[in-house]
Amino acid sequence: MGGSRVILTLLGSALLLGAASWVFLADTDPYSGAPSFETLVVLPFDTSAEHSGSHQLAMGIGFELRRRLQILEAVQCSSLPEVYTWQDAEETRFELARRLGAEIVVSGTARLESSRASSRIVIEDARHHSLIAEIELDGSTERIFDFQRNLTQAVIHSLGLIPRGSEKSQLKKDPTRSLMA
Amino acid sequence: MQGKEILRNQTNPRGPFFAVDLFRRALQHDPDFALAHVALSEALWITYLRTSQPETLLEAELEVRSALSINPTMSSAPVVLAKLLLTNNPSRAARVFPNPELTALTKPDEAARHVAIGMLQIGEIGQAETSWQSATQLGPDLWLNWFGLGQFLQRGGRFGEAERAFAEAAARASGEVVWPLENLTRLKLINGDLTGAILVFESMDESLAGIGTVRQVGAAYALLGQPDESLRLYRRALELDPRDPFLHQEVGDILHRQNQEDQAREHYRLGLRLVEDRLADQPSDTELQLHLALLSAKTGDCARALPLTATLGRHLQESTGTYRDLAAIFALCQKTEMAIDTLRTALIHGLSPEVVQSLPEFRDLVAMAEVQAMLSEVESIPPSP
Repeated sequence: MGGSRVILTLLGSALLLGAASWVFLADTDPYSGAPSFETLVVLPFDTSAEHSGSHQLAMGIGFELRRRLQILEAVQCSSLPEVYTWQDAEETRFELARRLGAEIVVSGTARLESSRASSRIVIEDARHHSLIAEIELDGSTERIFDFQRNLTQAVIHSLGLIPRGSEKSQLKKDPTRSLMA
Repeated sequence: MQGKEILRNQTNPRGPFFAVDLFRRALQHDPDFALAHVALSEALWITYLRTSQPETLLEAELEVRSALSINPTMSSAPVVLAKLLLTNNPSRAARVFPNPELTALTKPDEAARHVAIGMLQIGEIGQAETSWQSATQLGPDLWLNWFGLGQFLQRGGRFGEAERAFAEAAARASGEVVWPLENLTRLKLINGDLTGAILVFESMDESLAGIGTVRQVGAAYALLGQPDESLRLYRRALELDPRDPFLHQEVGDILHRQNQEDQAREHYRLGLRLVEDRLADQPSDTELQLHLALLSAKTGDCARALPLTATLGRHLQESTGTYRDLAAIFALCQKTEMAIDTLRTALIHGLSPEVVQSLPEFRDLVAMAEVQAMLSEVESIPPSP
């Protein structure tokens, strides 16, 4: 996985049709299946200040990504309070990852425009300061759980993680049946 | 999400109460929303910490147990439950921690670490430590558990115990994870064990070491009289951050000690330009101005350095480093009396005679009988409070 660079684009239109379309813009390494790391952190997502809802969208995406990745037994995740406890305004995300002991850093941005949500996720190896993958995703806010699930799947895929049977069913499950909740 | 955002913002004292309302409303929409039960429980726990009303804690426990009955595999619920139990009856809970709901998880060590952070956030240091120790027992083979414990102990100034935890982490981490060894190196440097620090550093893949460690070990080599190794590491540090003026100054100092004056001056000039760039963005930064004066003196431009010291003398923070640098400027610019006076002040503020003897700018001063007497008397001078 080290040094590989994968750029994935999951098209929102494909999502709305219920299909997931992966576009590999560059791929140097095949997925080995076995992750060569044990620890990971999902940093708080940056938001576009243009729309007041972007902040909540970013929080929601980060929260769900963190929660879903925690389901996987193969990887240990830092919690958000842990990030805030160790975070120092002066330091870079790699320095923060070092303090947290997180080999992989997932960071990203989220943007909300009318009823469309979009996110760009960057996955990096904090040990080598190298890029693993960039993921761009676009989807409808009415199907926000599909959006979050596909985002998680893209991250899991990029990291070469393979969910086991019970983990797969947990990953598929929506957190609530009511978007209002 | 609104509730979580309110809960995170600790500046609003009513925040947890608003969050409780929002989570209750979420549960009205979906009573089986396990995450909302957990979030409500956590919000109630925070309100209990502020109000000390026991019924709040009872309600919090009911909520988190509801979440567990809906989804027993969700790791956040046992984490909140553990925090509640540790808060409700700390002495009893600490004895039974980790609780069975937590040990039943597939990653109980991860959950124990999250409990530790929760207890640390509310200032319960003893319980945070219990939780971290539990993480190492629940997941003894994972380097991160020992690393986290080491970070916690180091933060509390318990360097000896932290060293042991980092050594355990290093023994379990893959060669790609050098952070435990880096922390071990730094702790040995803090304890003055330069040789021990270098031995640990040499055992890791140097190309993965962070700039801070590389730089500190470079300085250790210099102090041990190994300038070639020191220069090699400083050059590596410069590869990692070529725009750090302090690094250029330190490389210049080592080259100066080796009588490579031209190369030393080149690094001083590079450092000077970088300080000028930084000052363009932060013109009122007195630390940068002092650095500008020092590098000007090192490049032989005393006409620029000395007027700066006159202005800075009134604005700088009184510290060992400040007086050391001012004394160095005076020494480099042949203002011997001022250099000796300022050096005396630096020694009173805690500058060690060994550092004075090792710095090239004080070489001529140290040869003077007056300064030698001052350095030998330094132990009788009480340190500044």
